Amino acid sequence: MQKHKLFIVLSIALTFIAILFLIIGLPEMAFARPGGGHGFHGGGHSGGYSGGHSSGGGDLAYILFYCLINYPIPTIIVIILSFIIYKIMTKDTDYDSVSSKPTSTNTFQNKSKMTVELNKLYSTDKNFSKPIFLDFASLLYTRYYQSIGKDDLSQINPFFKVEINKWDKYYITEIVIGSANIIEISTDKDSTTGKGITKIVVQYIGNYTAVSKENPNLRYRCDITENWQFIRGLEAVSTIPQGMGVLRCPHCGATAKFTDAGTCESCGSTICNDNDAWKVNAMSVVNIKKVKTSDVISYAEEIGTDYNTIYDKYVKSNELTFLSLHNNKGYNDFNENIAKPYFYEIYKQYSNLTWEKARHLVSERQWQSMNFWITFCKEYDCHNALENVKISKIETVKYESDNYYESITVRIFASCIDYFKSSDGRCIAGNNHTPRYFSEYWTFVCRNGVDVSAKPLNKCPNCGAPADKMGQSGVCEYCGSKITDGNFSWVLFSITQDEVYEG
Amino acid sequence: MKRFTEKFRTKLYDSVAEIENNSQAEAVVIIKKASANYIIYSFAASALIGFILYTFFMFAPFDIDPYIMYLFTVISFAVAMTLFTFIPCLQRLIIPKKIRRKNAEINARAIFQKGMIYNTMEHTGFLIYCSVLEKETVFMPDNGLNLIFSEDDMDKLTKMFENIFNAKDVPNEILRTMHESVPTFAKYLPHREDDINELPDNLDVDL
Repeated sequence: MQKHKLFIVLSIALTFIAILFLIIGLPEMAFARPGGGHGFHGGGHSGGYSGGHSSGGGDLAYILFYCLINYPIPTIIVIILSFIIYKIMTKDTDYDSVSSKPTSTNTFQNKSKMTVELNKLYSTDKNFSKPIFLDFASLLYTRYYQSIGKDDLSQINPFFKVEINKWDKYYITEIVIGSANIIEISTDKDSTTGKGITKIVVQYIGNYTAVSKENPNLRYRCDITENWQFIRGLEAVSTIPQGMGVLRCPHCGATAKFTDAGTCESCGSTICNDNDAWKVNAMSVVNIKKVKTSDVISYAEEIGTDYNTIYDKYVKSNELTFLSLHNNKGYNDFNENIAKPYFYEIYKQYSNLTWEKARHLVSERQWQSMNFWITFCKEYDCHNALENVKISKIETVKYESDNYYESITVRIFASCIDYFKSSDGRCIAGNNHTPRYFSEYWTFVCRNGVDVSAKPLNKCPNCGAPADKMGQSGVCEYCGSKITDGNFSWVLFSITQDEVYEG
Repeated sequence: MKRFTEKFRTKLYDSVAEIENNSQAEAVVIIKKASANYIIYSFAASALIGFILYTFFMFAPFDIDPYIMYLFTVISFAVAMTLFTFIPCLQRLIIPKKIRRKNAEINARAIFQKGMIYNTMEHTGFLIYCSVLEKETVFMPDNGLNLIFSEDDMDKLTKMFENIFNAKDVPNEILRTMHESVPTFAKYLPHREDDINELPDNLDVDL
């Protein structure tokens, strides 16, 4: 190391000496050498040359001008090279890189593999429903975080094969699941029993607030990405789905209430050692970071709008199933009569801070997630204003159905004036003049066999009464029906940003 | 970096999946064009060349137009600078091996830290960091691997990865070495049914 330091210092010193000679000594030499003799007259003092240019201090501009006139090509080369060197020296040093992240081919292969595995699962378990499973996984996730700071784990223990550790210092509140997706389905062998198992890995992206038990003022909010692995016996069959939003006993379907021994209070079955119920076998936190207010109330550059649309490879062939289930009305009809009005209504209610009026249009998890952000902004005396919303295009990208539920994903291209407005009407982030163009993937879910033809958006889809008394739980107070699980109409199940949608 | 094509990257992901599906290890591979900016070395070497040429002009036994002296000194500097900056093999000539290795290691450690590769339950993550300009590979296993592997096998594994740049076809060598390492990982950390991906697949760290 010392040798190199010396080398660099010596080289730089020599460079400076050379430059000094060029700037100071050259005008003298320019005329001294042709005048005879090549004795070097150091320094800048005059003498030893015969007339001509009188500057002893050197005139770089004059030299460059002279060179440009007399030796134009080499001089231009020097200027260009100097510019290139300058660019190299000032360029960003974060070099190109290649990493082991999946390419589009890998993503496509993984998706195809997952479709094959999902179809295998449907063939062995006719009652399996993806929306129901994701609802169960989300409920369990929320319940887990609600429980680990408390002393009582009995209600969730039966669903966990992996040991749950209680948190002594913090408890968790305001759990918001932004998205819950199945990222892997596979089969394996149980290392203890040797029996075949089905594994499903769910990735959760969400956030929560951790509050210190000793000092409730000590709290922080985290963005978290987690993978949970659920396992179940290979031949296991699900119970007939009885709706979403409730954690149920996998045997009798009753609302989950367990004794300390893990026995269902309703049917008396023990699911702790049961191979037929989905259980969490492994959990891993993939990413966690503290949320800053500036991350939320900000105006990030829109990315992904120009990305190619990711279509499911069966989307076209699946339209036949869609047509058969919807009186020969195809995707276009859905886009015009469901997706478009839902989009406008949901944006309107979100922007007007009348989010409870969209309660019946949105699934439980999605509603809670967006409601959290409204509340969060309110704490900072502002809200996200969305004005002049205009849809330019809707594309159907995916359609799936099982024995109980169907889901359809559309990519909606739209624009709106999107900014954060303070309570006194000021624009505190974003742009309140120029529309922002964006696209989002919206997934709608509905129970099979339900009349889902366009219904008035301001009415309960079951009884037709005004949708003004839905409450926090999404139950219509007029008819007592839970209308957020897609049993009476389409509900918005999830929103995925275009830059993260993988199909 | 052109040789690390889309096809190679697809295979690279598959190689990582092969290791992860056959063992509990969690692999991350990052290939960078360079680990540091070596412009100061190019600058120093070019200045030296410029100075040598200038000295030659000054004391040459024949007359040279001073403006030619000036131009050629600057041109020699600029040409040398361009060559030492853009031609990797020339650049490697002026950067000592020790410095190249050190920079690659610093980058690997930074990626390991910033990419949170340590963030696995049993510390079974590892990073393979390849720096193309330096022709250096750093194999950086987390503590869990260091503890469980025998010294011999760990040395063998490290040597295998560190020799990647000795091969002519580097991309294929990376894939081949990763494939060859699978049995070693499987031997010490056999696959378990509760093995779950603990590191993000799309890890791409900007330092």
